[in-house]
Amino acid sequence: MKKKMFHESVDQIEVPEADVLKAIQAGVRKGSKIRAKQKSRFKVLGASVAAAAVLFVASGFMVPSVGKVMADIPFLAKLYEHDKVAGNLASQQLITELNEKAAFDGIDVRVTDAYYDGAIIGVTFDVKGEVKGNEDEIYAFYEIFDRDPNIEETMELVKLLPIEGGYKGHIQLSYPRAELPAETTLPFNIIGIGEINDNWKDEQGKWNFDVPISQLPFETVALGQARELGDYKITFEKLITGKSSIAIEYTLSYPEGGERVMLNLFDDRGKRMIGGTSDAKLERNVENGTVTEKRRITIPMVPDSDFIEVHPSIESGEKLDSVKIDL
Amino acid sequence: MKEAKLVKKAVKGNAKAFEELLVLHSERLYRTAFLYAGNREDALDIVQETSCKAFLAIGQLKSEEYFLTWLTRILIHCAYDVLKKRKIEMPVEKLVDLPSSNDHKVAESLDLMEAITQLKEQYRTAIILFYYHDLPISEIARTMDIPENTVKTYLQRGRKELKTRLGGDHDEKENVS
Repeated sequence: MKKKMFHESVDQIEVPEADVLKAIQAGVRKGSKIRAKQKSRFKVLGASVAAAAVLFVASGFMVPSVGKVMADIPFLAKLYEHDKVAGNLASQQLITELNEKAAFDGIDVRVTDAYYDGAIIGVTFDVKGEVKGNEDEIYAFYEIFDRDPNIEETMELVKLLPIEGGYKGHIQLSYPRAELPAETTLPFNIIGIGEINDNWKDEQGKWNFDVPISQLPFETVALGQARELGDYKITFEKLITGKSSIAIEYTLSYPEGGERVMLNLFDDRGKRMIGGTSDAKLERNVENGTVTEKRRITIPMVPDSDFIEVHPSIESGEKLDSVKIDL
Repeated sequence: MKEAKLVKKAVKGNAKAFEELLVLHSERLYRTAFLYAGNREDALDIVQETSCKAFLAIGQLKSEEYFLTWLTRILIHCAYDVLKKRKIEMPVEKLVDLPSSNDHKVAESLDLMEAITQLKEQYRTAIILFYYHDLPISEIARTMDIPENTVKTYLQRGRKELKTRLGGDHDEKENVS
């Protein structure tokens, strides 16, 4: 079959232009209404900074001996593709091997390793047993922190990678609480394993873990830089530099029901930093019509830059002065 | 150039820029939707649902250069949803609504369209993205979130099925690797 012939055939499909335009407009209108409702809950969401506490990556990784690393290069390259922190830490032997097991309904899950760098956590697990479905479409649906309602995102899907005799899964998330304990456990429950099932979100965890994690050495620098515009105020509190990731904590205050504040990050060459960055709400208080939020941006790498310049702006387009954070 | 600017504005939440972007791609959106739905009404539903979902998610678009791939992925999911709903409500054959024609060339095209609407979902997506959207295998793999080799398998199987349905006239090979 030739592409040309295919195009010619498809071009015969008559396009009802006026109706298509109406469909697009109706869709955008519907979206605007839904967004207006969501906005009343006020979420800080930057173009480059997605407000999600949980990032998921469709891969996994492992920390075997060097000889085995060499033997597994294609597989590892695939796994590390989405988690630079894991790749980096693994090469420095900074990932802790674990052996935590849980079994349910003929499927065994084993948490094999974890890392906790700055404010970013990664967990890898193996799945073995009677997993049903097409091996290229196998997912695990999981929850963290027992769906604590104070955390923005607690449930997520992760695609599993087929390995000999089973599957491997890897998740990466930003620690969603204000305090970063040095030693703690991550409540991590897997609810469903297999092809995606709509009922999963109504079910309880079946493979439940408290994954022990201990924070790698890190440095903290107090920032204390504030910017104001009318009733909007943003104060950058501190910079946390981990082995392979960084985090910036800040406080944001704004009038209740106000507009979204967006943050764009740029490196020392003026290039916008995008990809994998997360901005999560850690605490929220309302007093006399003013909302105060503690938030944390996590960047899953140590940027090759002398500083980060943060450009805050309000959704309506008004800009606050930028802030330079030395790395 | 203009499109890149529109994408930037849309990502920042500008509804008008977003709408303009969709209008720029409206023919392709509608025709792709039609390749899934096989009829005008469902194709328009898919376009509407895609516009809504994409508008809600545009703030999460990480790489602007992948706007079209990202939009196509949303459209495919919306199409799957419509097809799923339809499977419950009515058998497919009754809904495929292509015009009839005596012109040989047109009739042949219509046969091809009909054969496509009857392909398994994943084969259909691979075929549409390769032959109509002209995407390289790597991009199809990214859009479908599957390995490149699986894309090649889907293309081979999809072509084989089309060939069977069309009686062997459309078998000229196109290199997919």
